Amino acid sequence: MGRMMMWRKIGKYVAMARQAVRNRLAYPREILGRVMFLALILFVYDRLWTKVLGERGDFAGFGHAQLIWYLLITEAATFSFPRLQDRVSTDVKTGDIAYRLNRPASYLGQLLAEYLGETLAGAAAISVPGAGLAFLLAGRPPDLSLVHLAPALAALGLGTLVSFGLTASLALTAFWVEDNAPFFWIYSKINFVLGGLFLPVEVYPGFLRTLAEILPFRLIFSAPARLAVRFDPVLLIRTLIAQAVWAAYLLALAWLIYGKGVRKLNVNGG
Amino acid sequence: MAPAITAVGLCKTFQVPVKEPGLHGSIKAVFRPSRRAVDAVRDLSFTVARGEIVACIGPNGAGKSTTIKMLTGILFPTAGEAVVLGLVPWRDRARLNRRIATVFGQRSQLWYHLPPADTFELLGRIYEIPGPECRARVRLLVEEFGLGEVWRTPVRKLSLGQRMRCEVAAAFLHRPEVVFLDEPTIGLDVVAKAAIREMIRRLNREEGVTVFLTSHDPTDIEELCRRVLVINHGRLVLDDSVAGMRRDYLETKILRLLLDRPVDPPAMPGVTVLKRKGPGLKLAVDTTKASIDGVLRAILAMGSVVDVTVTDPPLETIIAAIYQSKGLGAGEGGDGPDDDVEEDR
Repeated sequence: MGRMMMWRKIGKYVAMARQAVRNRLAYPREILGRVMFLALILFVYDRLWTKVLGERGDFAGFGHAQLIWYLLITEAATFSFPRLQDRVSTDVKTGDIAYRLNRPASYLGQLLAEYLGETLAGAAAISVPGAGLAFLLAGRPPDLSLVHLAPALAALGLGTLVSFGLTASLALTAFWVEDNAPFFWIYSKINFVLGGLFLPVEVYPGFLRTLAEILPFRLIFSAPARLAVRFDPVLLIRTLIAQAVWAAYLLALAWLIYGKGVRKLNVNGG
Repeated sequence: MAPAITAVGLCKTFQVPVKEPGLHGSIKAVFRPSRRAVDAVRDLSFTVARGEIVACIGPNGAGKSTTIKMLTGILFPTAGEAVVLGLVPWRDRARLNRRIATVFGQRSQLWYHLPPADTFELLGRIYEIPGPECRARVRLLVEEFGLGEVWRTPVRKLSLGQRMRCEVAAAFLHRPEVVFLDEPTIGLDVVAKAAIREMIRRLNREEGVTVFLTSHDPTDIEELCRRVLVINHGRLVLDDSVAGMRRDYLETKILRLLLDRPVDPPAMPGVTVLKRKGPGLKLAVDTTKASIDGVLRAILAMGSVVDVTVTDPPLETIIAAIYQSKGLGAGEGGDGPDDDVEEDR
């Protein structure tokens, strides 16, 4: 009985994630647009890296193919994450939160299930054509194999949880300020740089590298992408541990903010 | 049996930001924001028995929706107590929300891009309704609410009436004991309104669901409710049966007569001619000044009456009379202000 109840509870979040997949795929043109933009970025960086690497053939130990595939993974992840801030902000502004809070499911749990579902759908839809293009531009990177890809995917999964923890903590500020778009503008810029969107953070100079390694941003997509293009078992273990610790901390933080925010919440409209 | 809903001294105060006009005001609002307290609900006390359908009415901003939000546990009250189905809504929301349902007429709980079938399936999972039971319930609701033709159409393609039927049906999926309906018929045409009222009435009758309804449509109240709570500026100004309300606030009767020939209406104090066409007469009789009996006798003295009906004016008129007698006007933000507002704690 207890086990059945537990499965029912888990099942509702799985169902929400499935619904989010369907919801994300309801607009194929939006995905096509993202794929085209990704193709443009890959093409530009292919030209750029070809010029920069020149005769030397590598940059801080990363070859052309590794840098292109690295970029594919980080960009595909960025494009796949849903805009959680819009979801929470809209829920608060329109008053739709009244429905979400009145369901026998945790509000954060609903957000997480939808986040994971939409990310999965987006990643699948974007990375398959993206991988084809990366292959055409740069061929297969020397270290990329199924054996290395599997742990990198696990790291990407945990990175998604870190990303959720960070964005949910920020998004829930909508309970106080309603429109939290400025916070996310700053967050996205920090994430570009300290998250290692274009380059692995280990090639950053002194202070910037230290800062990037202390903060959690690189754990979202940079560390998993680095593992996929240049596998290192020690780095894998360190990454997974750091991701698990940060994910637990950030999810707890989001939970704390939610607990405080829901008491301050005003539901708009009558 | 314990009441389904009890509210005692319920209060809710919002802090509304106040901004002076112009650029100076905008700059000042950033550095020295000022706020004023708005009492959305003040000292509200009432009970609703199980199986009852109660309407909560009042002008815009009276505090009706804020009351619903507190009774469903979404908002924390500033003061006072409430118990719904034996639970304190804002403290026991997780347990309460399995036993209640809400429909907000101006919002949607349906997934916009997906057909209603998908939302119902998901809601079944969320409420942990076992598969066969959920499918049987869905079949019943689809049939009762006539949702067959829209069942597989994305919600964004539905008309407002079709969507609202789906919204109300979805609220009944998990067999709630109390349903809070916040303007469920707003913006609908007469046919759609009638269909929704019929469904609510039937589910109340057959499943004993308690219904707490807010509406600006007097027909909703007339056709669904036996009891009315009138709220203004967050205060309860009247708690009475619909019949009692008619009796106490209705000093006018409408008299429709068909005579055997055209006659001049009697010139009596308190009698107003509303319509006169051939042998037909429609009179408004102020019963404090003239008795129905006296008016009828005066007319019978003029000629034979073929047909006569005595009716009350529409509920709308009665509600207007109540608002007038209680000096009610639009409230100040009681239904959850549109501005940036936070709870006063």
